[in-house]
Amino acid sequence: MIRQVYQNETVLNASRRRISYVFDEYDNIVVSISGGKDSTVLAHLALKEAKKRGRKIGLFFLDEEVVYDSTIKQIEYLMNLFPNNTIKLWYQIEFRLTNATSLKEGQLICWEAGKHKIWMRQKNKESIQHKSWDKEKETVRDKNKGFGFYDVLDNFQNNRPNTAFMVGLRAVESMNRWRAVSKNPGYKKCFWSTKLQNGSAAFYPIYDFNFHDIWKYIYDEGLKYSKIYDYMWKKGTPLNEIRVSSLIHEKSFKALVDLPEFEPKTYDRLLKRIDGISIGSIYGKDRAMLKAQKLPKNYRNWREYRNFLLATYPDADKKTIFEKRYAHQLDNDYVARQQCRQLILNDYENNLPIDNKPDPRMEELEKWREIL
Amino acid sequence: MIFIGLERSEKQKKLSEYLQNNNIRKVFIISTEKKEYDTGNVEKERLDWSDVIMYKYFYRLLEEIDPKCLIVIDEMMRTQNRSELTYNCAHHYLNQTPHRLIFEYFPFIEQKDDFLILLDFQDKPKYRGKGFEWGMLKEQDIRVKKAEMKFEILPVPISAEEKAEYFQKKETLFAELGSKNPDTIPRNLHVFVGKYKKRNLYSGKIYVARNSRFNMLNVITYKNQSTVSAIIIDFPHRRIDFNDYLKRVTPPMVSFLSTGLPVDNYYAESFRKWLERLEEFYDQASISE
Repeated sequence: MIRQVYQNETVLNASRRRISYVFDEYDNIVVSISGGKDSTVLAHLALKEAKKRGRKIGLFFLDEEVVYDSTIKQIEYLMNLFPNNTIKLWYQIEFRLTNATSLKEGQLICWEAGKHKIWMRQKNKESIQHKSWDKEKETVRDKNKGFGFYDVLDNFQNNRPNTAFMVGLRAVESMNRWRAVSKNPGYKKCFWSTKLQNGSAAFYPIYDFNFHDIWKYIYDEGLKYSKIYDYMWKKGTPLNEIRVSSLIHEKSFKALVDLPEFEPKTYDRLLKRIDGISIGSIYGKDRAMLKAQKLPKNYRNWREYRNFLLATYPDADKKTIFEKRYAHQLDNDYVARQQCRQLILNDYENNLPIDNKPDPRMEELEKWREIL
Repeated sequence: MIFIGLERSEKQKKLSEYLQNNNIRKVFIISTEKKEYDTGNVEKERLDWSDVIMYKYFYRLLEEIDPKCLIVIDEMMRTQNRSELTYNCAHHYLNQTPHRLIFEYFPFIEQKDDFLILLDFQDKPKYRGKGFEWGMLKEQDIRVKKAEMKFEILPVPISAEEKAEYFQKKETLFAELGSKNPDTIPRNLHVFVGKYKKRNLYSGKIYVARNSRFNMLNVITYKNQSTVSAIIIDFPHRRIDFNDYLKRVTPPMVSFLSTGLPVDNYYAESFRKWLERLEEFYDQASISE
């Protein structure tokens, strides 16, 4: 079992020590921000260190266009918090995002040229609106999918040698992800980092913060934070589950359910911008629909439902991706339910990986058959 | 201090004694029981299980609870999940003061490991991340009063046709399960065999069943707050519901109408094993009242 071990140092002091170390070791520092609470805290800690040392650091924000207005306000706030110590790296360039709410319009091209009239908002005057790297050296992870979110990150990082990229990753948010990034030290003996190309590394100085450590810091320092947190809190979301996410991809479409209530204007613009938004808003938390937790009544089992979804999948290219993937997986209800979720959410990228194992329910049934 | 097995009046006595011997400014009683405790001249505030996690209490109480406050945790073991948010919030309150009284009638819900929930209330940092060991009972001030209980089975004879009908029903439940939880099969079968017990219900006796399907005045359900010990027609499917029933009834007698069919045997055996675990706990807890 993974568990936290308490030491004789506060997480805040430890993070300050880590940030100071990164400043000692690197001339170029970039902090990734998302407008969420974690990156707000990390950016503030790093900017204070930069101010103390009279240095400038980059604040990198990759603008997905379809985000909350509150997120943009938070980015503007952070970018102008320590103007003398900030290099604004606000990217508003074209790239592709998965749209989990529509099979017809399975991808959104953010900031698509020629569609500026329906963009969620106009571009920021101070943003970077063209790719800042050599297009001939540009890398794309999957050419079938096109230039996506992670391709922007890859090229942005590859173009900045000998740079420390600070990320507000916290271990308790995802132990698996934490284990993946901290398996080997990325820089010298520093295990809270990941090695990147060209002498760069990603660092996670607040990796051991818990959610209440984050909120305490925000409170103590009197920082502003996204209004979405307040809305979610008022709606009764537990403090440890409150998060600001993207609005349309396969892991965050549930945010669409509350969007009309939280930010009606954003919702209105989103409806005009892309297909499937109203579906996401109505069915985002429905167990039988997008979440695929409850079998629709017309099907006897998940395998039957999966076969129907696959047979009627509207995009032939993506259908082949799913068919090839599922051919290697077990054919039981446990696996089929997860496959249904992938098909419904248009997850051809396999971002919601399938737990391919025998159906645990069968064991349970056997047990009861014997006892009863 | 952790007290196991105390009746209401005994708890009140312990609380009064504690207030007499300590300089307490205010008492916070976190309780699943509605009845108020008497704290004399000392100010008191009562919180329900559901109040504990609410923001309107959480932040105010963190500011208000200081080392001169006493927190009474009264029958708060409501789930076996040790990381339950309600428990965590209660730990935050308990961090603010060294004064605490922890009352729980049974030492666990299902398994001895549940006792760690009470140990966490007593000293969370000490037990964080640890599994239960009997030696832990000696590490804290724990007073145990044994809950005496007798268990008997009252056989209900059934015919060969009824037995055949039972097995037919079992097959039907498996065949029609669909995507439902397999645990619903024993629950449904246990209720199903209740019809064979109906002819053995007598008007002069009180019975308890999972629901009100018998439509008889002398058959109550577990939701009924009666304190009279009744004859069991069927067990509730959640152990905690049966524990709640046992806490409130007297005399401490469990008489179960059993058809001898596998499902009744399963429930009877499950309760018998629970009693054995309880006995083992009492044996291991050498410190007693």
